[in-house]
Amino acid sequence: MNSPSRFYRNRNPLEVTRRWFFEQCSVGLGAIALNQLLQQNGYAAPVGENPLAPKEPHFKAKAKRVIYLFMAGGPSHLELFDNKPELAKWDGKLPPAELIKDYRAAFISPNSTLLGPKFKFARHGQSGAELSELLPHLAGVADDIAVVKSIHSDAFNHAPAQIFMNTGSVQFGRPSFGAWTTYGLGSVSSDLPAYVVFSTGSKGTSGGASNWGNGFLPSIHQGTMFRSTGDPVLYLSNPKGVDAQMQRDSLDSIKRLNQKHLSVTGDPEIATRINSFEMAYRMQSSAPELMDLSKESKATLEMYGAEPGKANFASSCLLARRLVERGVRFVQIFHEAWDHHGGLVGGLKDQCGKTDRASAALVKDLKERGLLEDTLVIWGGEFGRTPMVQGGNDGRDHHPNCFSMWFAGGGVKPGLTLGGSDEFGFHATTDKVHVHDLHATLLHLLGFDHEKLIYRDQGRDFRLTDVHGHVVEKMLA
Amino acid sequence: MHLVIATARRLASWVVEGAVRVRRNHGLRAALVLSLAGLTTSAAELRFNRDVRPILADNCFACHGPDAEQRKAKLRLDVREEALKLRGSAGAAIVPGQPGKSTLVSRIESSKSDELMPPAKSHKQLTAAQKQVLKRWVAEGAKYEAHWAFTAIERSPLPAVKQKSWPRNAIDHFILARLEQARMAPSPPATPETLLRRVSFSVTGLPPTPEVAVSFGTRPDDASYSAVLNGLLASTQYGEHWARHWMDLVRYADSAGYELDYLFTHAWCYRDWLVRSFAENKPMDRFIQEQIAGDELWPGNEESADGALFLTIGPMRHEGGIQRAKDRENEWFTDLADTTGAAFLGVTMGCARCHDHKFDPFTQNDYYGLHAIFADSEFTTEYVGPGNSNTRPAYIRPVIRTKPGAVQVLRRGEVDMPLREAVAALPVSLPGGGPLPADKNRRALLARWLTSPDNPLTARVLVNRVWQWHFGQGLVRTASDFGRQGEAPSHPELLDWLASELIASGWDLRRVHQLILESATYRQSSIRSPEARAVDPEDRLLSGFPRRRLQAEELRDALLAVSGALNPKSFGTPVVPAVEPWAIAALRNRNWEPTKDESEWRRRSLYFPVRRSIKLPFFDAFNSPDNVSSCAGRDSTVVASQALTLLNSTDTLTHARTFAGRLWRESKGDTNAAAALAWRLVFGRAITTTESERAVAFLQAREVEWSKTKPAASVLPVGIIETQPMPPARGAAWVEWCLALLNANEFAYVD
Repeated sequence: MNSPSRFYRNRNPLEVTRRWFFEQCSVGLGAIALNQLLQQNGYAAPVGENPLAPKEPHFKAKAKRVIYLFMAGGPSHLELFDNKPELAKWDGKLPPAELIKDYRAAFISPNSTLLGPKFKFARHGQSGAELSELLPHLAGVADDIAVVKSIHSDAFNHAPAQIFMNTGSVQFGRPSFGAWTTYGLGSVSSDLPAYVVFSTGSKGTSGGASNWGNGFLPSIHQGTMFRSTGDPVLYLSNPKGVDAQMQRDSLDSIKRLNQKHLSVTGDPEIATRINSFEMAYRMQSSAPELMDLSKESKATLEMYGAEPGKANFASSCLLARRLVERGVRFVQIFHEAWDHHGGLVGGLKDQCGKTDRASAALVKDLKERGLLEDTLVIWGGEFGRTPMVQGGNDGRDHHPNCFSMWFAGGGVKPGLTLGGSDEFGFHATTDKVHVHDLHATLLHLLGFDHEKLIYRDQGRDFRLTDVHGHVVEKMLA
Repeated sequence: MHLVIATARRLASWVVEGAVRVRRNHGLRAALVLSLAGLTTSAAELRFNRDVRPILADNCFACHGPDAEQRKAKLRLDVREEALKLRGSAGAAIVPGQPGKSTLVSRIESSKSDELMPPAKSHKQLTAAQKQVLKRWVAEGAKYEAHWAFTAIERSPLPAVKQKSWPRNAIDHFILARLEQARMAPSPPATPETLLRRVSFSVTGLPPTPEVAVSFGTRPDDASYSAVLNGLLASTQYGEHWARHWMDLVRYADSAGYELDYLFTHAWCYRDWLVRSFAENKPMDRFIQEQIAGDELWPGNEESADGALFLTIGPMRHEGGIQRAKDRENEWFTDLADTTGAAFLGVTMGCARCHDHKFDPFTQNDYYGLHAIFADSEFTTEYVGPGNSNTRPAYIRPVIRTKPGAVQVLRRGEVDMPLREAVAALPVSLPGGGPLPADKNRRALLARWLTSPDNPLTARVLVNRVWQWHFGQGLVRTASDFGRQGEAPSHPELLDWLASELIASGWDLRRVHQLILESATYRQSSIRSPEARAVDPEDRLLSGFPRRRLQAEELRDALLAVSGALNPKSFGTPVVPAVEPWAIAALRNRNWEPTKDESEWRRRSLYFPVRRSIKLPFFDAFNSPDNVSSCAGRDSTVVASQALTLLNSTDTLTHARTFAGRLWRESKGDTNAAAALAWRLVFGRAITTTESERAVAFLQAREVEWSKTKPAASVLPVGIIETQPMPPARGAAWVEWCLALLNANEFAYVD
């Protein structure tokens, strides 16, 4: 009938693709299965029902997607957000004994002397939010963000604290916030992963892949690591020497072989696998367009401080916006750079120089495009830093009792400054927000009752908030 | 729309099963299925375990179950005499035979919100059908049954079947009886070629060698099949494949995990011990005993001590910053108690870490009793060798010394909230449970108890795993949760029969393999009739062999075997392949030194190091386990990243190039012969005439295309010998074709 040689030449690949697709469906599966397959519009096409099909949350909510700028290492709240003029007066003195009773630090002796703040603060915008001179660009969007200065955590070493902030548990192996989000909401992207991760620091994160892991949720919910230049994911480009035509030919011959297998077995999983090759092919065509920052206006590039072809925090922020525009549910940028045991002043100047402008640009850009309303932006690390000095006079140790984060969009009250700490920024004192409370609130913003978003594993129902957590009503718009 | 379809299909499947399924890996929420329980049992006899307990467990036991701390109103519904107790003026929760006098009934039917059970704040609600079941159960006398998995193993007689010619052995009687009950029929036998490929992957994780294929192909009768089977079961490759299965269960890794992810010096000795134990068919009771207490039971025996390395390969926290020894020790014992509970007993002991188990009869005392058994020995680590910086060592070596230490029962599992000293004990609710004498090696007692013929769990759990690793799903699909929240077995009598056979045979695993692999059940075709697929989409009744995707390691090993590049060397220290730098970018402790001899990189996948902090991309894409806690069964997702990996990675292209070179050499350049050989190697079957014609036409057409452009050297076959040169255009066409074959479903799946 068909001469294969004729078949393999001079065909529009997409036409071939569609023909094969409908042929194989009608041969093996019938109308119901065809319907099922067509509904599987996710990046993945798993067996049976599609776990990434878009889902409604428990109640109507503003936030539909999340961009989480994870400042790994523990940025100093005392130099960035939490102005403590009193601490300056204690510089070089030992802290009051009652302050450090029962306190365990990661490295320093608890009776190290206090270190005064190294940078000046000023109030900005109509809200009068107090921000450090290190964050001039963020100051420009002060009325769009909510700063929370009373976050506290349970863990004071990097790996467990990062895992805790991302999964609600200090043990490895639990699903991350991003995984819970795609588990709850599914994905609306047809050819990109639901949960995309970037790593822009000079090294990987202490918590490693568990920070964006799926835990016991189906592996489809795991974050997919993107590189911020070139091929975003592994094996997206053809291997050396393989051109587009060879690729399409291979795909077509694979499809022929698979179609035969399908027609013999009638197994829907086989159809799903056929589909997965087409998904892969679609990603190959869509990813280069996604990654091509040269399509952005000069003004936009300038606003972020991004340069096409250059992998850094700024280009990742811009890519994050491009990803959410294309339906990606959750983007998380890990910037591991804030662990300033020493070189605090220089380190903070350097890292703020690398991140402040793009972080603020992201908020501004999303707002201009009407996306900020239903996109939740989060900025923060796994803990803060001690008011006590580490080393000479230019470093601070890990500190979980009190630290600051900021949030924007997605139903968060703009211009809000919430929570306070004692005169040393040592303990959160008013409107304290524990990590579990934060998780409850973030899920609430996405439309979930954190006590009801559950998954059963090994005989137990699990939640992001374990058995804790209260929604922080004051953060809600 | 497809959700509705899926639900309807599951409903159909549930009706077929006649059993309540509580949970499966993904989807299928318990509540949905459980709510159906009442609907279909109205006419049939009401059974406590099947019909009533799931409703109570899901809705009532959290507050009125085994957990004393959470118990409300001092009412306990999981124990009959407690539920029947008179409770002041209100009467008793249950008065057998008198629903009208039972407060349980009045409370679930109450119209007052402050009386209604379960209360609104529990977010639980009984359906009308569930209420009906509970009422009927009370009316019929409120009979309780012990949970099936905690009762003694019972060997039933073989059930009668109508189609008497079908069964080949005992297994088939149980399977066929159930099918006939559902008015279904088994599928015809698989073709000899399909069966050989299936059994080869089942036993060794590798495709059949051409020699075996030829010898079996010429005389595919029962005697030849048995001979093939016994040959496979006697091979080291069998040991390797089944060691890899076991490594999932015991959360095997070559490194400690967490931030610094130190390499272990000798986890691989345990891996080799696994390979040897399976390959030499070590009795399974001894196999289990050596892992728990080989050092104590057979002092001075190095082989047995290697088994006990099981105790030392769990995750260990070493990270920047201060850690307290007691935290680390507590985590070690927690890992051991949880893993032992999951892997050997198939129960979720971990639930009792923070509180008495809510559903199963395990208390905090039981759980910390296990901690105390392990605390008989001191677990420490030593740092070994120079590291990659001045301050950090490269390796850690776990050390077990016998030195009793006390552990505490901890409030909510918190180290800083001790409640009382824990007493070394075996779970009291199981036969032989209770406190252990202080003057004995108590790990040895635990090992003996696990493998005692009276232990109702160990043998059942083990044969169920073996079944799962052959059929893709267990008779109990929650393979590490045989408790009340787990799934009931699809064929309870068969499960017990196999367990009793295992014990009676002296824990002879080869005997169990032979029974399964010789059975007509296993030898069925995987092509089921459309009717069978519609009624029982998940093939719970085994009306055909369930098709399965190759696991990550099988897939990579098969790629090497087919292309002819597999280095068959067994045993030894982990082989570290060279990888692109970004593949290990997430590794904080950049301790990745590729093995110098590159031929080692082509060894079977179980010889690669298992790092807890990263997974190699290929294994990551194909659902390898997380290696942090015991993995009872892997996901088998089908996602685009797998397609990209198989289609575009340099590794797969290398396999295709090597394979093309092999075909060219072995077919002596004859395209027809090459196609026939390719089909034999990749799909394990003879090529059809149409397939052969298409293959030849494809190769010719593509050679014409390639001759217009000069193909790059990177897409040409490797291993071409000078005496048989190959034109580049032809070479590229063959490579392209080989790449397609290696991506085909028929290769990636076992039919």
